[in-house]
Amino acid sequence: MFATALPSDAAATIPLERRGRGRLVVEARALDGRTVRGRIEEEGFARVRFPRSGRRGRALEAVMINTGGGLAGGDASQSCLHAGRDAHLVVTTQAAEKIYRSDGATSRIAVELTVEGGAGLHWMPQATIVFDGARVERSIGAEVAPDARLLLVEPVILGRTARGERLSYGRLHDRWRIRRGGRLIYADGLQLDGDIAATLDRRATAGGWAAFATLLLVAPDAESRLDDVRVALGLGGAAEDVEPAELPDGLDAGASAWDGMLSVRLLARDGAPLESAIRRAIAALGVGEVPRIWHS
Amino acid sequence: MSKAAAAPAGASPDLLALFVWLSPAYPVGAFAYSHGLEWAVETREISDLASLTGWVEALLRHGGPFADAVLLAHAFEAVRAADDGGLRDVLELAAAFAPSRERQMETLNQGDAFLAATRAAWPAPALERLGEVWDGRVAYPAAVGIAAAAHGLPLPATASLYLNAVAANLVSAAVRLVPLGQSDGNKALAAATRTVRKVAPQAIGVPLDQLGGAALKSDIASMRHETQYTRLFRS
Repeated sequence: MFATALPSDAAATIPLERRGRGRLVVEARALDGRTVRGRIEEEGFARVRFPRSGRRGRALEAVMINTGGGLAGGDASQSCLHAGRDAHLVVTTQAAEKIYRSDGATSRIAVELTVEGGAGLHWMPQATIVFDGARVERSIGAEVAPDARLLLVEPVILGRTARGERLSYGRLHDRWRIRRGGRLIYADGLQLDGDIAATLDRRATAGGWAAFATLLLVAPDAESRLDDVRVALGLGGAAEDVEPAELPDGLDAGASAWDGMLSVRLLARDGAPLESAIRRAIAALGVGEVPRIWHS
Repeated sequence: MSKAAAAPAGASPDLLALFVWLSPAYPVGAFAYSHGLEWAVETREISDLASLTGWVEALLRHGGPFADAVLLAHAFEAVRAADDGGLRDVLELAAAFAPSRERQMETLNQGDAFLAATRAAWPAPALERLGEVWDGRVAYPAAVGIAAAAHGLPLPATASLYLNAVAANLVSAAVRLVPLGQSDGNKALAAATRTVRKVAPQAIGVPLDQLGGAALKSDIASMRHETQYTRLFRS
């Protein structure tokens, strides 16, 4: 891919050292019943801010900013978030993260989360928008103490749906590995490659819809919230409850709980019904609110 | 190389054990699980031969069965290489790689049952010492991969027959639930074999860190099945 030097290939010949890179480290620690900033490291296009509006209750709210405005092919982003013992950290992003059409190189996103004993970490970025032709590999890894709480909320929108774009080609690989007390308890993988539009059109995959999200709560009492989440999403309640489920138009959803976890899968026609469902699910989880910056 | 590969040139490897292990009669209780398909019939996503064929093909290419074949291959290779650490990693991942409570139950119940039955009737050193490597439950595809490697059976045939058995189990569930006639059931099985022939060789080449699929609606169906009012299947 570096052999030709035609002007149209200019993007493909950007040397690796000039591709964008961002690395962020945020440590939060408990101090006198609230949470304060510990070690902070910012490199490349990665920045973090701690808005006053985010200071509610015991939690510290961190807002991540990508000064590059999105990820191009070959860009790499790494975020390490750490909630120390008894600390409560909420992390979000200032805006939707855009993954641009690639020249052939893959964008890489790595998220590493650690939650110590008695601590809580909520990772709830705004949506990732995958442009047609983007190539992205993302990994989310977490290590959670047995008595800690982790909430993951990851909305993804395939294509710029507002302008009628679909994700028809490119590559998306999303890899989740969640450990509790050193043991792997949840693993998930999304793999889209080749004729992506045809893959997403199938009834067993996405039925042609473009927006999805997984919510995962790991907490000692996570399973007890399942009924409330199902009701909030319009899925009806427990099996003996014969109320017919009424999902909103443009949304498909399911929720399940096992082994100290609660998982919600959402699939939506586009971003609007997806965000609405996420808000209802988070409210029903009862572990915290959506970050203030989501309202702007 | 495996014992099967040592067969004289031109001779077919002896696959009889695989036919027994992956037949509907093997005591893993496969008939009790629908992988969320029962909900897809309830919502009319599956209502005839065409929609059934499409659903099964999508799962073989992008769903749980495809990921199963990847895990089966890695478990097989780890046993054949006597790589205990690698096998532990595969078994841990295989047990955790489930989108819902029922999908995890489906794979772990069948895996444990498969190992118990196979240890009793087809003992092999690699099966006997599995407990020294991994003390947790074993997902179904990993159990099949381990047993096949322990007996020197070939990986491509193991992966193909595994996928075919899973597809046949889905078709059988749909024939009863939709319901479909025997002739449509046979057409669905024939279509599934054509897909398995293409997909099995691809799955056994996928690196473990690329494990994944795109069957979101199938995952959601398995979650919705948990509260389905009238149900014949356990998943």
